[in-house]
Amino acid sequence: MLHVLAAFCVAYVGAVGATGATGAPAAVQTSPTDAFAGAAAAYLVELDGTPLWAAAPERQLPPASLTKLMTALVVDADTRPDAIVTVSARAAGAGGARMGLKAGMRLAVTELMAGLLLRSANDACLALAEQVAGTEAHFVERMNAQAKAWQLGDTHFVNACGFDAPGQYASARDIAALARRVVATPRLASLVALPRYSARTVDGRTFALRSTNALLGFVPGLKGVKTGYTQRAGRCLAGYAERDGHTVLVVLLGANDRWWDAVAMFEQAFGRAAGAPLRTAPDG
Amino acid sequence: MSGNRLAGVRTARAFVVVVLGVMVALPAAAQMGYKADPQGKDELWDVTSKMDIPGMPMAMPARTNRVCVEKGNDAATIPKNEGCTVVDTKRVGNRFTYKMQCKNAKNDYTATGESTTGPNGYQGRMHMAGKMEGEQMEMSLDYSGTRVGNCTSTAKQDVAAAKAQGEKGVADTCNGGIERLMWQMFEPKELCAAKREAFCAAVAKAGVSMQDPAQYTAMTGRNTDVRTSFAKCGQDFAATTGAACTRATGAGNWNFVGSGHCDDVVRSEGAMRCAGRGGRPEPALYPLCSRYVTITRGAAAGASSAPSGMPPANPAPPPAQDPVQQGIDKMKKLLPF
Repeated sequence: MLHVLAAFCVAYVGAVGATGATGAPAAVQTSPTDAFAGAAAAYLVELDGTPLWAAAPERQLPPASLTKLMTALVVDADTRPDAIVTVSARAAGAGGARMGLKAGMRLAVTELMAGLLLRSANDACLALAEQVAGTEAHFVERMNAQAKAWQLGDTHFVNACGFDAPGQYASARDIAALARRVVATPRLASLVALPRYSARTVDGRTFALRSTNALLGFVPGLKGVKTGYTQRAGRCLAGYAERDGHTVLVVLLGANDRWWDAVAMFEQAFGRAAGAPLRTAPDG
Repeated sequence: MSGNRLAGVRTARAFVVVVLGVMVALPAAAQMGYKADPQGKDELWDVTSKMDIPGMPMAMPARTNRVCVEKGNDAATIPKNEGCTVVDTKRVGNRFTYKMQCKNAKNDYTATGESTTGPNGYQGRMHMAGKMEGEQMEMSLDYSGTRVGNCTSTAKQDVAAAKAQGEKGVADTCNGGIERLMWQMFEPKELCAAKREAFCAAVAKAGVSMQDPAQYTAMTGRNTDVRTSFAKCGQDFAATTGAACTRATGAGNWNFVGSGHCDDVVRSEGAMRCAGRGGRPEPALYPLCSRYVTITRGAAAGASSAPSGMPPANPAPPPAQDPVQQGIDKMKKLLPF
């Protein structure tokens, strides 16, 4: 009788569990549509990993500093975060956005990675590339090998930091794949989520870094990821946010108004996830 | 699951339910309050019972409960069982017999028994047979009572107190519903229908107080369907919302304006304050401009429906049942009126 009773209990609990289980409705997405026509040369919005809205997501475009997503992933895979890097004269002379490194300065990889991802610093970028591969050219070979390994068919690099150059291109879809990898890598995810960071050299000199991502601290649930700008690429952004168990990834290449279009994309995508209508009925 | 196994589980379930029903029901009299009182007019008994079920590999343990019963009330010696009605009793000398019918959706069985009264107490046996929890079952209950003294039953007072407590519970629940403007509780035939007038008075009062954005936020946070409460009482929710939005706009309260209640204001203010700003977000204006771009750009800009080729937005999930409503439901089940 006891085993029958036990069987009854198991059967009963099982039945309750099955009845009580609820899940989010399955996505009915077919293919992404261009809901934000004209917002960017190319863009992609993913909700919970599924493309929701897009325009030319496979178009090969200059990615500007979104290149550094790959730079960071290759450095993270090939170097210990506490390894000490001595800044070369070439790295210290990098143009564009900079931390302000001087030749001969010594910093841990983590500190340079903060400069790379928050400030989008090209001096930190070159210093890291040289640390990992000896020369930027060799580092770029690794970046391209990694792109091939990850089947990023619309991506190719000729420099490590995102300068405009023939042959330096990526698609919004490939950038989305890189951004997903960055936020899934704890060391990198923790850096791209920071609005500010104080980087230190081995001998104690500090660099106050402010993230170039203007949406950090504004968009609820935003976890980073990276901005980019060059004359050819225009304004670029990869952003990732989590709310109530849902994730939204936004990639904009050559955007007209990257901050506010991204805000609209995040809010509308999360609204879609929550089942909210696109428009609310006016109260007044 | 095989047929035999299923039958076994069903039998076990019936057994558990019926045994629990009887075992719980036995001390029913004891659950009524009493005071041990040597001068009391009622009788205090220790009642011991033991269930016997044919085929059970182990014996059920005996249980003893102390009960206070009215003097000379033979029916008080009958073990109470949920859903059973005494249909026949007979006393011949010191022998008392009875019969009960137990019938409802799941049970249909008969219980017969007899008690024999002696100088120091009584003893008896009840036999139950029929369909219990959908299964054919048979079981017996041996019981005995020993007089241990006198008592004064407080059962009637307890019932009155329970009723008063129940009424207070209903009043508290309805007051909570008024406070939160829960229209569902004041519909005809609902628990608080009699207080509809007070409910609508509270709604009218809220129509004024909610013109303050902070009060508006607090109320809509407590009750997301307050709009319907206004409609039920003939109040103009749009006017109250509009007044709150106007006040918030005047005070530069962009958090409120951008919260989704003031989208008409967002369109006009956003066009002036947000449009064409391509730079970094300005912290103070972020709530306004965020809402502005959300309702004017992209998927929201073209039409109120989803763009061609897109699936419709997922329907809103049914709201989780409100705790107050759950309380009402529980109260309805508990209260005997």
